[in-house]
Amino acid sequence: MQGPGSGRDMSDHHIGVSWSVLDTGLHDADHNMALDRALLDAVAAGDWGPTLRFLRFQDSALLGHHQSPRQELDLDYCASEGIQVQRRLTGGGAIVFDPSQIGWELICLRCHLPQGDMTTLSREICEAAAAGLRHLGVHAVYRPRNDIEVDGRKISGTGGVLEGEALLFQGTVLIDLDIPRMLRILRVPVEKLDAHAIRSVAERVTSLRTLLPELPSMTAVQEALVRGFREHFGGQWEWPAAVTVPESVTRRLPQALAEVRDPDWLGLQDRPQEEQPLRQAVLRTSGGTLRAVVLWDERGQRLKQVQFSGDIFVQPSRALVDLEARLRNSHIDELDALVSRWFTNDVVDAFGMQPEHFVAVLQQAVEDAHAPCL
Amino acid sequence: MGTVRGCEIPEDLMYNVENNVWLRKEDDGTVTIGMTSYACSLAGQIVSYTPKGVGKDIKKDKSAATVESGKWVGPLKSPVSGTVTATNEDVAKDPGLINKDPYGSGWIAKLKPADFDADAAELKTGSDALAAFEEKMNADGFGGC
Repeated sequence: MQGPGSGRDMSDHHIGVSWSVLDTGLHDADHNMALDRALLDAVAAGDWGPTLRFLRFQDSALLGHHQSPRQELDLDYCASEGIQVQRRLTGGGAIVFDPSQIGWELICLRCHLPQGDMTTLSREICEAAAAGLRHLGVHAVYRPRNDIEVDGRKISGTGGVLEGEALLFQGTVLIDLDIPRMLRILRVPVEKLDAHAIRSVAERVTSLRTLLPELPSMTAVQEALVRGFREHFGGQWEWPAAVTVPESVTRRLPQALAEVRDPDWLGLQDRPQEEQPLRQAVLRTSGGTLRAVVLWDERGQRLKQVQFSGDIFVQPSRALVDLEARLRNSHIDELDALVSRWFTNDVVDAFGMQPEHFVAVLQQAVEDAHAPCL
Repeated sequence: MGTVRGCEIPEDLMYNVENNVWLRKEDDGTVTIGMTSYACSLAGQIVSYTPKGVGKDIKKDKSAATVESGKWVGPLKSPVSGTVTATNEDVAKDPGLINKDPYGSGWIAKLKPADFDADAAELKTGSDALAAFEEKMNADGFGGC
């Protein structure tokens, strides 16, 4: 539902904004979520101004706001390993944090950022963060709809919450990546099924440790992000970061902690794994064999995750990963349009494979039937 | 059917323009609430819907449900105080219904109002609502649906 108003408004009323930069350090997941709640409330009430916050977590698994713990996480493993489970205020998928990762987030009013719809806002913030990461020497760019990637591999996932005029938009920076541990925590059967599970994830996700000859310090990563936001949005961004949480936020913290520790918060969505089965299909064509694995949301009729493999050859080489990103969380009725748009807009050459083949194998997977030879 | 910058704004409904929410008073005294087509346009394709449960009391301007689109979460703020009497099972199965039919099958919640007359006094309807939406869209820099 993109309208003519969806583009960025070029008014520059946000340019003179003065941003606080706050490094809240290493905390457990409850405390970090409560700080998110308290900061958002303080900004919404006009008790605190626009803020860039850096945060770190003890070992945690963080659900997207509308996700079900049983569907997304291996809760027994989390309990046995002392991994905290929390629900974010923001949307998107479950993520794993350990103390080596850095989280960043903007908490502000709509008027502090360029005007536009939610897609525009996501793009603006991600482009600013990507510009910051480029200062570290990695070729980070925004990938629709909400990722930052380096050469086709995700390095930062993001999500937001908008409450009236106040918003919080947050992202991660993958400093290092323990793929086997991530797979154990997340219920990621798409990868778990694959005999080459780790390689499969490594083809889609990357980290600063993988990309750089020498790992930058946490302070250097923060400073680079601040530079990116300053260059993209203008205004004043205080540096070095403050480490003292303002009183207007701390006084809201006890209530916020009580909210996120209430069982109703984590239980906001509680659906069984059976409603989210794993489906797969194989399609043999003159262009090769195409295999699709789909994490299927039976109730919502959505493809939660898609992964392609097989002996097919597609150019540009990142095209399949881009298609997977476009299809994430898409409704079955959108399949035709999304695949066609990918094929046309990205100028994909699949060497004999046509858009209808990709649609067919996904539909077969969803129906859990054997795909015919086309 | 009223229209503002290409967004349908039915003139027979009541609106909290600031929160982008509509309300319809039903014959049995309950109210139905939902997202405006303008709100849907800003949000994009909605993929999740989590309503407050039936029987829950909700204060005016507090969340009756949360929705998610493109990894953005947002509350649907109730324009009146009341008790939830129904949530939309069809929308739970297909949240995209909110985009397809925001004033019909894509309704968000039904409530039994606590004090409808007091709360409704602040809501706009008819040409007043159209003018208020025009003003809001102008302030938001919104080009149109």
